[in-house]
Amino acid sequence: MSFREQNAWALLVTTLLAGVAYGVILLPQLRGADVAEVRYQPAMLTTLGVAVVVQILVSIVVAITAGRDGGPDERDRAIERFSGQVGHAFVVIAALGALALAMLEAQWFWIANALYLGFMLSGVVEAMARIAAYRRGFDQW
Amino acid sequence: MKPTRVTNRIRALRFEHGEMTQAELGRRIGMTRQSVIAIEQGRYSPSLETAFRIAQVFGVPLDDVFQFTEGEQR
Repeated sequence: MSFREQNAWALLVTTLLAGVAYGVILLPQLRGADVAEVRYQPAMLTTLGVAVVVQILVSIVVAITAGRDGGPDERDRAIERFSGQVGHAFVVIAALGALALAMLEAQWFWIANALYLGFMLSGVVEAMARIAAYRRGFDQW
Repeated sequence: MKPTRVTNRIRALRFEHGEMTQAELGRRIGMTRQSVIAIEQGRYSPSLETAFRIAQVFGVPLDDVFQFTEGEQR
């Protein structure tokens, strides 16, 4: 497994763990509560922050050890571009969802969580697209 | 994702050229060993520039390295 594929696995695992941790912290607060009263911000910021920091640290470790297999080469860049586009689509969908919620004057809780879900799905789908491209093959033609 | 319909003779050409390793070929064309493996196994179609570089390393025309398999159009 190449270092870049390991990096994609790290992105997938940290994004999933961050999402699960956020859900575990938030769900007990939601039972029978008015969402306007739910303090989702600390859990959201903490899980996002920890996921970003962990991904940066993993990227640094990968960059340091990448000398062993060189690169990135044209295939790495093509896969990164492709997976980035796939992940980006989910950020756009989440932004459109948040826009619709804002127009419907939904609670800020739902707008923030729609965006958060979009970020999470974007990270997961981007990592899965990258792993699939490395494992199953990638035809840019 | 479907594997590419572009087949190649890189493995055979490496052996005809003193059992050149995938790492050595990768070094000479500016790609990682993993990418050379992917090209050899038909899991990645390289850019035209890289395809020409590979042919240049082996000193053969491009169509001695890569062949296009006729079939149903995607």
